[in-house]
Amino acid sequence: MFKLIQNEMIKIFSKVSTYIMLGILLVLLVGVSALMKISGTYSYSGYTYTEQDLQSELDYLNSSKPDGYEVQVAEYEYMMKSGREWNTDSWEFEALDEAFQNFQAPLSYQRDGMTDEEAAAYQNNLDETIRVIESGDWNAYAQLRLDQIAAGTEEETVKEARSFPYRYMLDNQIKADAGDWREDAAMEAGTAKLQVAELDQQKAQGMYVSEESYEEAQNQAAICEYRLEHGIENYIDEDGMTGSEYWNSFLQESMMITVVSVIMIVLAGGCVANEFANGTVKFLLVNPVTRRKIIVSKYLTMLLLSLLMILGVYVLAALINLPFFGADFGVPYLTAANGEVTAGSGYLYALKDYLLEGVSLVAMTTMAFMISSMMRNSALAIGIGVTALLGGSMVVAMLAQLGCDWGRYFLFANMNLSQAASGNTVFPNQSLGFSLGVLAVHMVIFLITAYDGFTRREV
Amino acid sequence: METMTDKNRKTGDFAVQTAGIPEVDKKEPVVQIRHVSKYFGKRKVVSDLTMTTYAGEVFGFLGPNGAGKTTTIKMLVGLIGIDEGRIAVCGQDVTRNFEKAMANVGAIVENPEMYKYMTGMQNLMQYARMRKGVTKERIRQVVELVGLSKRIHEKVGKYSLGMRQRLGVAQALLHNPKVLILDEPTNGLDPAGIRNLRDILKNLAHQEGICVLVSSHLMSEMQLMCDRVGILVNGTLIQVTSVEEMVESMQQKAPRYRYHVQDAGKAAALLEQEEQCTVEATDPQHLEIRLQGEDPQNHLGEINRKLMQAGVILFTVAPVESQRLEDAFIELTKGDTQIV
Repeated sequence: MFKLIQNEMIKIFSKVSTYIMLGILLVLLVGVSALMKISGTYSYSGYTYTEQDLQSELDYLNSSKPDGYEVQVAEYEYMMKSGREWNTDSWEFEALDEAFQNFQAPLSYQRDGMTDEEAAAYQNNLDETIRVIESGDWNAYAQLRLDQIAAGTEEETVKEARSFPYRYMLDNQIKADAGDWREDAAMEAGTAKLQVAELDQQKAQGMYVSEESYEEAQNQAAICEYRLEHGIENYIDEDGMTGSEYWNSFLQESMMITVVSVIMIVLAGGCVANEFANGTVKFLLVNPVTRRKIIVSKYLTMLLLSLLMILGVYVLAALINLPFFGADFGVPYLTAANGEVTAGSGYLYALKDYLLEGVSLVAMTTMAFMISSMMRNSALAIGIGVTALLGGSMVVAMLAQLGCDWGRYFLFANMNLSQAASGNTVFPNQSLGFSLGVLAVHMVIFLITAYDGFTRREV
Repeated sequence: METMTDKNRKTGDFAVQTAGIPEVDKKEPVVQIRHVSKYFGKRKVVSDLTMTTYAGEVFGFLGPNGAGKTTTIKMLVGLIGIDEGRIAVCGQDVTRNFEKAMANVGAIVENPEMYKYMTGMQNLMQYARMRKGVTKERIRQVVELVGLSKRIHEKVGKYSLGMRQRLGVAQALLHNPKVLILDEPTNGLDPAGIRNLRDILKNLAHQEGICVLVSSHLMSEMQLMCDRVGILVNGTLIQVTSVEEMVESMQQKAPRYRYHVQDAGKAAALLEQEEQCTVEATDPQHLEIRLQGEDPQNHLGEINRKLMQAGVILFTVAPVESQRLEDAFIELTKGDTQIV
């Protein structure tokens, strides 16, 4: 059997066309990396308001008077008066925004319900905060915020969540707007913690809280804290998103498995049919080897080749992206459940990602192999295989839109196993087990047809 | 309906020789075909075929196009199924023991199509890997035997038909098979190629003791190549005989002689008076006669004496060798060809 597989491999790699296809694959890999590099260099650097911008905003707000416009008007008027530049990406702008939300809003909307002293206190806080912001001293601002939060009347957990980013940055001497990733992570952690604290409060008051959003906030907070604790700038999240350009490009290139699918369909489509077309089948079958062994080794060759190609693309993508984006090896795959973080290897995650793409590859390759064996026509096998590969999911999506539930029994509706596992499926009644079952039934039918077509037909 | 005895007969032991087939003395039977029939749809293309070939002989399957030669060979090498009967190679049933049976078979069925994108050597390596016990040395030997040593490392796409045919023979011989099966081996070969192949095959059979089974509709070629021939018409084996016997039997019936004389007209006038002698004048100096008598040898001597006495100047007299088998063949298949 090993020698038969060796024979098949030699046949495939003796053909010039195989090398042309592999060459195209390589060119596409490099090309996608280059495109990712070009599109990835754009970075957001905020927007600086001019006097005209502010004036036109004010004119608009004053004429259309949308909800909450009073606070905005006060903020813009202050910005015009201040005579300095305000960039939307600076900490000063964000702090100013927050100060107006915290202290101007109560003054604008709840003035009737408060005493003169209370109103004066709000005004005081606002003025003091603005002064500190104008001084440009972030540390002083952070300290002031901590004091303001501590003096507030909120629950301890909420105070804790609100003060987290300021305390963390002060403790670790992180400068604001210095491009330190820990600033963003701390801010994100604070937001998530605040959400958790608020949801806890709502729970305590007997309000309905969605478990899903609670857990999501909890997990996000856990991941942010984990990153801060372990000094992880970039990571891969559950959805495969990452801040690392290298990993982003690497993971995106798993779509190249579609190109590998086309190559495999061409090889599988010709695998049996070409022996008939070239007349070589008569020499193949008069050997002291049963047809069963020949067809099985041909199929095993296709499976082996699929696996090798997927691994090849995986390794190539990992290497090709290095010169484009630089080495970025230690990026982990972080997931959290019930506030517990699990760190996995980014390379393992990517491998899983690539291999899952291989499921549809193997399904389509098997289909082309079946047609090749049954019809003995490579053009037909390749044509149907590629059409199914590209059009199958489209047809299934249309069926889903039309509400045809039977569409879920189609092979194409079940090829995305990661989707099936996460429960985010095209049809409502699908699960991982269902998808695996449908795949298995299709594969068995394909293989029996291919086997029967080859072993029983007369040559 | 099939009777019990029919069934027994059809699944009978291969060791038992079936009557009616000329025995080749003390030779080892290699291919044994027993009551084999094949249907394409409702049409019976091979009908109750029974025959045996032996080690050390070149056996020719003769028959017009569509007689079932290729079908029989395809059944023998397992390319198509056998509807009725059994075929064994070296005692191994082709259907039930395919691998063991084919270990003794080397074959070229129809055209010698190899992988064009590989070299001759790479092609041979493909087949070597599928068979047991083929050494590098053996590959070199067969390549030398078929005379491809110089060009074995060229792509098969560049080979001529003759070279591909020889590569096919090399492929078929790789594993030292007991039987070499060639379907229409002389198709498309030039005279030199045919002669070359003929020498190789004869040598394999007579020196190496291999059983060579060839099929052809070229009678004259078979006559030169084969030891025995089986004539197949409409799927039925109508005669198995040695080439000598067949030619002899035809010659005894009505041998032809060709005269080269100075004046064919004068000779013809004399010969036409002769009994049991048909004359055909071909040109002013040549004529052919056919002797239907019991003893043509003596009759010819008598005729020659008469011609000399009458003053006919005689240059040569020769038996007409060519197309003898063809005549025999056409005669044998005359009645049946109308059904085709």
